[in-house]
Amino acid sequence: MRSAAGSTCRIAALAFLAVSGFGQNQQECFAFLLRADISVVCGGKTVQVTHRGNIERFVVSDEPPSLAYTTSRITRRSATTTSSQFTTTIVNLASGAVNTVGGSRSVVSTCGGILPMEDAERSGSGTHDLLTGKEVMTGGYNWFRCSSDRKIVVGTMKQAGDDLRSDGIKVAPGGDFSVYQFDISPDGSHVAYYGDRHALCEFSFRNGTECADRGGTADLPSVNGSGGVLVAVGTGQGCYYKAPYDFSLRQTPGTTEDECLGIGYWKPGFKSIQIIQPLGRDPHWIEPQTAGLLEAWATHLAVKPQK
Amino acid sequence: MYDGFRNMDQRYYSSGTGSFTTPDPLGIGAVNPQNPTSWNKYVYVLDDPVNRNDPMGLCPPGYVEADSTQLASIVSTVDSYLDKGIGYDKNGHYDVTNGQLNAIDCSGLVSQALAGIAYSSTNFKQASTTFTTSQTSSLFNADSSFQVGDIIWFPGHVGIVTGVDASGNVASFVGSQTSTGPAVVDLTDKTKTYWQSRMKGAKAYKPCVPAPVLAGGGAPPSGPTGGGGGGGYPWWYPYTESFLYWLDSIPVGDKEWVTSSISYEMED
Repeated sequence: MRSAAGSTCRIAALAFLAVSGFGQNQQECFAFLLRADISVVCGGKTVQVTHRGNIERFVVSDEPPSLAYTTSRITRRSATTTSSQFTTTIVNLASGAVNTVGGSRSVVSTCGGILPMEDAERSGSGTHDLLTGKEVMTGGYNWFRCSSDRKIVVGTMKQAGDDLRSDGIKVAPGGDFSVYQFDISPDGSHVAYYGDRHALCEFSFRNGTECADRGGTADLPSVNGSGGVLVAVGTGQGCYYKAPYDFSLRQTPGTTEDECLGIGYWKPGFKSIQIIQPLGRDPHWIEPQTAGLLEAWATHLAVKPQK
Repeated sequence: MYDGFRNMDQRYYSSGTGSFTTPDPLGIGAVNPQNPTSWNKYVYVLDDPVNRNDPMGLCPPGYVEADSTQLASIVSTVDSYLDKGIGYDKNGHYDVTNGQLNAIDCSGLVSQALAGIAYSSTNFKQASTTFTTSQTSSLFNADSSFQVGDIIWFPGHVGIVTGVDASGNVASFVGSQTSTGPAVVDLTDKTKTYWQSRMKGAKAYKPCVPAPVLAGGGAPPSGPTGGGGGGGYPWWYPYTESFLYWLDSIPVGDKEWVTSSISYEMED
């Protein structure tokens, strides 16, 4: 009797996951980094988009549909210290136009554009959109993200301590989150961040805050309009790292061992993060049409060898 | 749980005589040629067991284990590297670009923490080599149990203990991991099976720091220094980092000859 009841509970739990988990909505697509190249998952299909083997970080913007990826090279090396030069390559997925800019170690897709990830306050009155070159006014925020239409902004302000705020509403208390690791959904309805003890948390203007029982890694979380969050998360397995962004299960010369990273999915109502890709990092939600453009671009590149 | 860390006492201590009953296992590593007291390898921390702390008997003469304030400082330093967007440096200890620290490796992170407690570690190399050779035998005191602020060493990795549970097991440490850069590894997280398995090979070390000056006594040797030896000691002085660095670079046979020769000179 007890056994039957237990089975029922398990079936009920599985049914809940099946209804609520990632993958049920075929329209949910994302891109992530796998062995220093970009792959796209959409409609149950995974496609490797680039074949460069040196991409450290990347972002995708849905409108206008664009891809930006960062590579680096060492410019100076001493016994203990190296200096690097970072280059960001921006691809207009609609036109195929490619542009490169130097200087930024990392970029972020937010506010309907692609912005250098830096303290806006420190860099002056604002920052600039790498897609358009136009200045983005930050309205007194040091670190910020905003909805695609830029109407909803969330970030830190000097005069408000380190709290994460949006238009006077406290989203997360200072000290509990990293200014580098938060995201707002393109429609501005949900904010994902790492909270106390680095647990993955989500704030929604409608439902308040909820946190998972664990967190992710140094990568940014990515949150969509339905509150689903993607993160890079340790899988518990051992991997061999050629570089922080290039790792696999197979040991090769020059690699060092560390925990594997995979892609995790979480949304409020879930206790734990579910691993949906066993290997990978730096996940980003993308629109299905952007996924299509990325695949088309990849096909184009397959014909024209990548430099 | 971590039985491998137990029973690591290096010498037997007689409370009746206030001396160890076996010689310091470091041999030459524990001898200061300019401090005759240190030539007696049965002496406990320069004959001042009340004011000095070297319970395992492995810090060299003139050095004592870091105290609780210094251990707290180590933890505070590594904490200051968290959530700063700093990555892991695969190419060296530090990647500094445009004046900003972009990335740091595990040895670099521990180096920075130790630099804050008068432990100069400019010659600190990969944890997989240096921690098992000169640095371990000279300036790190193998510990019998973990304490917050200790150095935690794995084959190929190193970090700082930031949490210990009631049973004395490590609950968390901060290291710069390839996958994350500087980050807390929370071993109480049941999903951290990878790190829980690696704990089986982990060891604890306490850094040895320059001892306070003895009242009425001679000045202890200066702390280890980078570059030319510093502190009035030539580069070949056995405790300078330059010497240790050089010693580490020569073939094993030559190394044994050098250490045994110096040991002979000191004991003669």
